[in-house]
Amino acid sequence: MKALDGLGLAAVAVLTATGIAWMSPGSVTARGIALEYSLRPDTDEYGFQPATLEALEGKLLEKFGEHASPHLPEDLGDYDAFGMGGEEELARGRELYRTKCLHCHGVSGGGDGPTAKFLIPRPRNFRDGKVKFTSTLRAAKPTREDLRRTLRDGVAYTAMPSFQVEEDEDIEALISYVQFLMLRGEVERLVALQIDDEGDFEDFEAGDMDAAEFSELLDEYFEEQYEYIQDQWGSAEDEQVFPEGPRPPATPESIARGRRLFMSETAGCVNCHNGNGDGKGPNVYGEILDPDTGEVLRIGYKLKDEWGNEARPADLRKGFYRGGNRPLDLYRRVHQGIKGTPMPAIADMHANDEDIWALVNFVLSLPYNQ
Amino acid sequence: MRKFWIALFALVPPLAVGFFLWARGVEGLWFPPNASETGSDIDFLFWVIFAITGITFLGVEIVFAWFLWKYGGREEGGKGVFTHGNHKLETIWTIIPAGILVFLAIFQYGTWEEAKFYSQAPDSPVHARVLGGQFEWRIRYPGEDGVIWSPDDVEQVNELHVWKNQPVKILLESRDVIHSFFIPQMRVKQDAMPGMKQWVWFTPVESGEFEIACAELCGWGHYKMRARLVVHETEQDFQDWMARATAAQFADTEEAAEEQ
Repeated sequence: MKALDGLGLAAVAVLTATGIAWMSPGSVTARGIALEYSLRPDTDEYGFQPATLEALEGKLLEKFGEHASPHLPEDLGDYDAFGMGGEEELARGRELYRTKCLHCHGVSGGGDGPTAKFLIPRPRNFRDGKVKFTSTLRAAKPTREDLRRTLRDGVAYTAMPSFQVEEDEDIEALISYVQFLMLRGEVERLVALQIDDEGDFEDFEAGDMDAAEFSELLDEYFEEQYEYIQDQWGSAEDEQVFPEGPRPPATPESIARGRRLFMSETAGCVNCHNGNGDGKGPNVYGEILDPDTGEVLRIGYKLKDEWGNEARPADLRKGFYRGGNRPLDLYRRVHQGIKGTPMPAIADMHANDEDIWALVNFVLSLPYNQ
Repeated sequence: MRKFWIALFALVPPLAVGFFLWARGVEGLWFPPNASETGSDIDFLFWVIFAITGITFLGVEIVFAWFLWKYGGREEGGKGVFTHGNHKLETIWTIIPAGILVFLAIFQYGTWEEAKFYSQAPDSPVHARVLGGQFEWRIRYPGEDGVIWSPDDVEQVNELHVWKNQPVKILLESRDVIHSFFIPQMRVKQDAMPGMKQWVWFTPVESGEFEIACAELCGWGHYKMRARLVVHETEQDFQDWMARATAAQFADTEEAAEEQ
């Protein structure tokens, strides 16, 4: 009896100690969680052999550091171009990211954390270097202020909550780490694309090129792609969209003009957002056909975004806007669309400032029309 | 072994009393200080109930330890003394708690009415609508026209601004599941039910920043559903803030956006 008590006590002590060790900060590093560095599953389509993947992963580790010690490449990196505070800030950002973001956005920022699959819309995959709601031109990177707003305000009515109550320096560290994940993921993908395009990996895998040569080649590609992306980040501030003039008052005339545009074939808003603004226009919701047989599979949302997720147009009657509810935010949304989604940039259709403001006035009036 | 168990149970009352006395002085373990007008009534009720349950708890624990000593088996392997109960005793210990319960039900009624009955809500116009959702609080001020849900509304996330001595009246709603709007320092806690409108009111008597928390397990992100209550010193301070928030809300140019 006494022996059993002792055994029980020992078992509890061991389990407790294991639990504490498991959950203590830094233990992820200690356990050496494998770096899911190289590539998303879809890059498998290149058909790289393990040797190529290993070389690529080694190169990325060398340039960006292990997971626990993220840094920009020593020779090329320019923290100022991103507005980052430096290596220490990145490490701090990573700690915060692990506790607050990782469960949705994933270890490497692939939008594939354990809770991701329960969410619509899905968490952003940072590794494409693209986020939806920015103040910049469609092809440009977001500014730090854009990321800051998303963190502070959240994305309304999605699983992305507001981090309003966090300290300023924590928010800044998180922004830096997210930039880092976006940068790393994108460089990785572009380098992989390049060795695929040039067919170098085949030489390497066939043994026509030795490891040192291949490594040098990777260096060269890496430098090229890295600089290209870093420059984009550096110039994001200059790519911001601003209206030419302030928003005109939301007079019935302005709203009526916006409504005409909304319903017109030129702007085409109505095709997705529908005549009443409920976001279930003819292009959006309906029969989904089997591409092979032409049979109706189901009724549902037909549009997809660049990440392959269902794209549901906003219900404009609800009075909230994912990219922010300022008139300026709506102006930018209409002007440049939403990055990575079927929501287009109306500026490409020769709309002028007045047209866009009329549309904004109409959209802003929709929730209060009933 | 018998002595060990008696000692263990006899230790519970002094340890419990010691723990509560110690916890009183440790920040974060006891009630945060009250900062609202009606909070002292609620605290008083808390103390009454705490005294009743505390005394009962101590009494039960002491009797328990004493019974262990008196009726436990005397030697190793010996049997304890068993009885089949006592009708009179059972009647007494049913009637006394029932009496306490009835007393509490009547005694607390005034405070409950003041805190929860809509007829007791302040006459002031609605200050803001708080919409709980997984996992944040969206706060919508009525703007100049005083009507919530109109084009001049100002919407903010996770930050509620009020001023000192203002009878704050809040419309509470949920957009998905049950949440609970909890401001510990204001002694306010109210569930937000999807599809229902609830009213919450309180009058802060101290300025400063306080935490608003969700007090109903509402999903996996429940722990991060926190917001901030900012109590301004004067109404003018609040109006100044409101003017800035309104300007930010309706920013439409580069200059307006940069001013924030």
